[in-house]
Amino acid sequence: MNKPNLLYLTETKREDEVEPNDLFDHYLDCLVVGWMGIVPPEQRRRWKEETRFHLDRLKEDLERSGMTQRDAAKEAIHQYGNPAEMSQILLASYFRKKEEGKWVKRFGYGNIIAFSTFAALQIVCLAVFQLRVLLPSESALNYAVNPVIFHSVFPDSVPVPEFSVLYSLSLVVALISPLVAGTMIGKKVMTQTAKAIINGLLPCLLYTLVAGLLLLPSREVLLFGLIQVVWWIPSSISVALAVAWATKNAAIRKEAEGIAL
Amino acid sequence: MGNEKHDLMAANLLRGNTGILVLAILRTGAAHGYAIASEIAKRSENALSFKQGTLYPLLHELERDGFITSEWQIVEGERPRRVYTLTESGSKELSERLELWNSFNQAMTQVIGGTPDEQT
Repeated sequence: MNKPNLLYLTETKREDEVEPNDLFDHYLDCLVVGWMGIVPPEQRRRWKEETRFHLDRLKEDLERSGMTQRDAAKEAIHQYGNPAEMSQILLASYFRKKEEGKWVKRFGYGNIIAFSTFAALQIVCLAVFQLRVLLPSESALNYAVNPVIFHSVFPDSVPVPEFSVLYSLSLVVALISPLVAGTMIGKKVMTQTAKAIINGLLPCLLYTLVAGLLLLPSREVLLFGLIQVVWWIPSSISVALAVAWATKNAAIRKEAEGIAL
Repeated sequence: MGNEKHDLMAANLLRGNTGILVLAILRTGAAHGYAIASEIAKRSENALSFKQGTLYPLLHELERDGFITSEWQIVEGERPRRVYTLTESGSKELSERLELWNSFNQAMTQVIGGTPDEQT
């Protein structure tokens, strides 16, 4: 079996069977697939037509310079650019608005959305922690178990689990926040979602870890930092990717229904 | 200078200046994307090279900013092509960018010193 050409050929054809049009069709399919559910069909059609016209003209000029049809098609694709890269560049320009804030221009739309979402939720979490510290403590009924019984099993250095409303609230807020963030980010940032989440969460995480170290021996902020590393990152990425996928699929289905009608 | 290093330096210099090239070419007349890319290569004698696909996001942004307009042109027996035309505000924008470019070019030449022949 002939070795498949890695440059956009399907694996069902031998290299000498592939027509230049097949190469261009395959290239355009690779270009368009990343836009489905995000860019409206009229816009996709325009980009596809413009690209096809450009590739055809480039191929004609290369043939005139002495190349064979197939080599000219491959060279035209090479000069036009990698389809995955071009697809992302076009998408990024699609999301760029005419009147963009300087922060969006500098850091990118997705990164700004992710950072502002995580920063807002981080403020809420830290506010609840702070409230727990500042409000007068409740009675000894705070503890889930009797401290004496607890320390008969566990060493003295292990903290007894609390049962206060604020402690439970702070845990619940810390655990639910990434799910909320993932949902909000997934709806607005449908391309390079995981990258935007990592970029947006990193400054918040650095802040938490530095604050946690400065507040030692109190370990709660460091514990929050650990929760962010172990839980916030994977859960927000998973939820955001799932929401982005569902949103795109819903848009594709709606489009298909519109075409069927 | 190695080819890779030269290409990287050239790409960095070109980045951010491709808009002025596109507006300057459209000043001479309406053109589609491939014609613009070919004209850039021809006028620069292939000194300015870039992945041609990157031209289209730039064209769409210039259109969104109102500096150019576009429309489909149907030629019998050929694929439809999208033709771009410079607008009045695009013409003003080009003049401003050219002025800025000329000042920058002059300042660089003054700092580097002498004529191009003396610099080598």
